[in-house]
Amino acid sequence: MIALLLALACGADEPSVNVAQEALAVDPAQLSDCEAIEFAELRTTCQVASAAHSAAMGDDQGAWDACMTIEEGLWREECHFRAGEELGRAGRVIKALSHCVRAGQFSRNCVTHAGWGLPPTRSLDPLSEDALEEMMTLQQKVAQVLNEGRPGVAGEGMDVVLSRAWFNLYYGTGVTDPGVAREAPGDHAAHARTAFALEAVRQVAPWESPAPANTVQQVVDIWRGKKKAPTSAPLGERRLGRYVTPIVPEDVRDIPHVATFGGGFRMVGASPEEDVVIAALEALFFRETTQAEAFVPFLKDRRDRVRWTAGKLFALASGQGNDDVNALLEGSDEILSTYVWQALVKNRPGTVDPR
Amino acid sequence: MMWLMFACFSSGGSGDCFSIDDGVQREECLFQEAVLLEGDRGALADYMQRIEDPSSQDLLRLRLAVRNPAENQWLCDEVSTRSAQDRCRQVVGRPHLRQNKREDRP
Repeated sequence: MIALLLALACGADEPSVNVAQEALAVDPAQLSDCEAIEFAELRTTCQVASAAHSAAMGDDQGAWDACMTIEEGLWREECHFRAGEELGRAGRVIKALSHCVRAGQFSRNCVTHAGWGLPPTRSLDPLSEDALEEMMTLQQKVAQVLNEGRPGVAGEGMDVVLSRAWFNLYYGTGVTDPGVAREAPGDHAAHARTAFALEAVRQVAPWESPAPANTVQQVVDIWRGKKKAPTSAPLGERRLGRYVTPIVPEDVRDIPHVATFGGGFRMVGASPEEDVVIAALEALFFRETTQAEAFVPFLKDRRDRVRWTAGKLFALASGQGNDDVNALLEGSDEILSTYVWQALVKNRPGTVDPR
Repeated sequence: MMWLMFACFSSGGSGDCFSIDDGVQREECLFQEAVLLEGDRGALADYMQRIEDPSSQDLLRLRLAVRNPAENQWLCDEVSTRSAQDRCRQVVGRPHLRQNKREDRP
């Protein structure tokens, strides 16, 4: 009797349909299914998931349709971010960037993620006649899309896309001819040298054996045309390398930097040839089997930017507790010390897959 | 009668919300009450415990986490149903949402 009274009073008749269970169970792949969800928050996440799903399939319009059903604000921005990431992963970088510029506060993260999705053009290598023209065309297309975004996003997005595009042109192709990199104008130039150096180091210092002590000099000689540009079979699909933590101390913010693989930055040299040295040092670090000692000869280089880069890479490769690293921390070159300090503090060692 | 009401309120969640027959409106009522407790983790956790249906608990956790990821993402760590865990990944798997402090809410 008491149980019956309790049941009646508390309205314990369970409804035949559990609305919570039903709402949680909706498959978010279809945008049309989202509309039926009663709760705004779940409807929103359903729409975001639907956009991501469409984008992953390469369906840009589907992603737009889904994102535009969401009210302006945080979740619409997240929706464009997800769509940008997925389209980037699917290799549709221009479409991806058009979402990224609408991702509001997440735009910068989005352009970085999307930019790395740029796939290599199979028919293109550094010896292709139209290589430079292709790079310039890409730059124009990207600029057109990114100019619609927030200030700061365009520069960062372009930096990442160009870095990736030049990486694709050189790295793993088996071709180290510096011709097209030497011709690369303006914003392309430093990225072209980064990519050239990566492929040149790969050829001069194969990963499976210790790097020759004169690796950097050999790369410079190839650049100058003093040494014949080596060639080899293409690398294939595995284009992985050691990740460089993004380190740009306050004191060097005025010196140009360019994006490197996986979100890092490298300093640009004061002259093209100095820049090749810096790019070669960074390429040595990308090479996972390079030991910290490879950077030691450059720790006393008379060129500031070379010395600072070497210090950063030496500290990243050595880690904490190394006496030579400690000596650099206590040295008189304050910027070098800052680089070393930040390298030790911010170091996130690992491998990144730039694909 | 008073005894019945007391027994009712203490056995479930909010007496007011649980007296609603319509499932959607009941969930909405629970959500509105929970929103008032935002920012007080202890009170929110206690409130959740008073709801007996795990799906209903999880729906509430997920809705609050989506409404305000910066404040409420922790609720997603406590969901128990598989479907809610899947949906929560859209929130907890996106650390940038945690940093958001704006008032844009679905």
